[in-house]
Amino acid sequence: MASGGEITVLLTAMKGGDPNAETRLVGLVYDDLHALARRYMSRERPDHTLQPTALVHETYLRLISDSAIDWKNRAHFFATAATVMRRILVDYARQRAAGKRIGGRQKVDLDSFMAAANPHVEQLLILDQALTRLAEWGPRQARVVEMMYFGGLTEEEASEVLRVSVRTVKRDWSAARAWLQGQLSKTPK
Amino acid sequence: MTPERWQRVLEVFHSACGQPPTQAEAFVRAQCGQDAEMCSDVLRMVGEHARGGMLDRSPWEATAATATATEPALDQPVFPPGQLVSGRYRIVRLLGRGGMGEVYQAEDLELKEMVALKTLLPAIASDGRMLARFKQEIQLSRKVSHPNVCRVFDLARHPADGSAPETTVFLTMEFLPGETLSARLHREGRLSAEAALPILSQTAEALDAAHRAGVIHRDFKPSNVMLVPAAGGTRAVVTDFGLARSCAPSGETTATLTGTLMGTLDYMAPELLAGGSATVASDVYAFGTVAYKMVTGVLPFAADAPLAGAILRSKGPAPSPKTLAPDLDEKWEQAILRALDPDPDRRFARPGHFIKALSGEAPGVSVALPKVTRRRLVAALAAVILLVGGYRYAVHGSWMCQYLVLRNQSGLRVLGDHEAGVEACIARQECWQPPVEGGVQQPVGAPFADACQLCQRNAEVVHGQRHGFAVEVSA
Repeated sequence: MASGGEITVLLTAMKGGDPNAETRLVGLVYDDLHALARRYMSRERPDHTLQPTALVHETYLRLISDSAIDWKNRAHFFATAATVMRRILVDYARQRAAGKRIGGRQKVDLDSFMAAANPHVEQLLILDQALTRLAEWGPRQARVVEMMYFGGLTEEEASEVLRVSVRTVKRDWSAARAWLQGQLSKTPK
Repeated sequence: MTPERWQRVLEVFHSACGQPPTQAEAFVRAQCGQDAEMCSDVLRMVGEHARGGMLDRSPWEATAATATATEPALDQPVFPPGQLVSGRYRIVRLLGRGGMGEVYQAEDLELKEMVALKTLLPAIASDGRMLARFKQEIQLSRKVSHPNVCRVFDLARHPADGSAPETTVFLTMEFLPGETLSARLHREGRLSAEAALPILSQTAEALDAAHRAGVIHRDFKPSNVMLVPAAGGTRAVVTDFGLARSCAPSGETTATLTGTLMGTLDYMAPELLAGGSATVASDVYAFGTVAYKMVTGVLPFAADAPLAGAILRSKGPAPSPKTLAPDLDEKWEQAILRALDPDPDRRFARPGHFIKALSGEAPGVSVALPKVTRRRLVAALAAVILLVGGYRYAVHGSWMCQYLVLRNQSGLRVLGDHEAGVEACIARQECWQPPVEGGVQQPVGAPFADACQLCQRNAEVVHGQRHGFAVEVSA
């Protein structure tokens, strides 16, 4: 497991504009979030409901024992976690769509989760691809969707991370949502 | 797409969303000029903007999705644009979703004119008794012919010959391009007396005409008033006459229960809450509530949840609208308070008298001291408790509730709008959601976990209403 100190250093570097820091941070938290996600999906939560914010919050608390972290760091952490969570969900969807066996207990958990959680696995993959394309010409709008949809961030948190007004976040969300849904409905199911 | 082009798409999209719905398309076409591709991109976005979709629900939320599997039609409209329905109507676009189903703009190819096409939810259409009651109400509302009453044409099926296993029952009615009074109030907050008067007088005429024909509206509220731009001002048209009643699901216990508490609680007269039947006087009360909301911007009995407001209403007279709109003319204040008199006999005899009172024409406009008797309060509360007794709640789908009444050891609790996840949680009768302030939904992601943390076992859902019609309750 990554140490709290390492995470803090990476967060600070990331805020300072170091592009490698985020990549490394994603790598660090992926395993933790993945493990947590698996736990959440197992029978201990009969409702099979994953709370993205609860998940990220728990990871955050586990990874960062440093109490001096300010809120801005926290928001950035959440934003990074959103990227990770998108990857986790899309990885599951992809495996499921490909009918890949992933073996053992994990498979049962994930399958039952995906079956219950998302009957539209294909839709999720289409959304992921459309979001990647959107990021090419509208990076901020794509990021807003990633943070809010996959990461469960609030408009306020997203505005903090992006350093734009809440109003801008709202506008970005509504435009990106409309565009993405247009892409989804265009694609035959 | 290039970033520059996307910027332009964003600009046109956001401006188009600020236009009245009927003008959005023309606006986009004008803005995009010769650029047909951009035009179709933005139009698609504007269409999606008004529609629900997978992005409205957390991808991590399993409970809601499970429900979606049984009601797949929720996200996807029944009819795509361009579809020929029942061999006669060409779908133009989806206008919105209501309690009973979806509303489309469609072209009647026989008569070459636009109509509104309203689909009925399978839950209503497949229930023989409900459909029969619905038809009866349509017949009633067709008896009313007035320029301020939305004309209902026909009930039909698609496909017309019923050949497909899945037939959709729909209603055709007058197409009214414009916005609802509810949307206007949402946008403008409150209206000046000068702006409110023409709308109120037209709707009063509509209600008077209906009452003369023996039709009670039962669910008069701002979202049932369409404002149509017309030469020389706005034409206000009252829609959905008498339809509220027919939307009660049938069933032995539910018929009485929902028959008592139908319609929108926010505009419901206190005597209806106490178990009385809908009358001209209860329509007058709803009319007074709408007038109150128009000139003050809020409901006379604002509360966290509709039923809480309803209970307040049965307890006493409405507060003066002047406290919220100090510059309101005294005649308005008195007319509104008279329409909102807890005693039905003391209200105006018909909505038209309200308008006359504003110009000082009607006799006896003085406001009598409100009569709040202990008996009345006891009767109202007894009715609530009666309703509460021994019902359980069953959810079929992922519908959002307007409100729920819950009971556990510590008493009754009334909840407002909330998210599907919480509803499912409540449906399993496991937990308790904290009341949602002012009917505002909680931030995405938070409610389910919070609700479950606040769980108290043995909470029982005793009554609930989904948008537009009551949920199924079994004894």
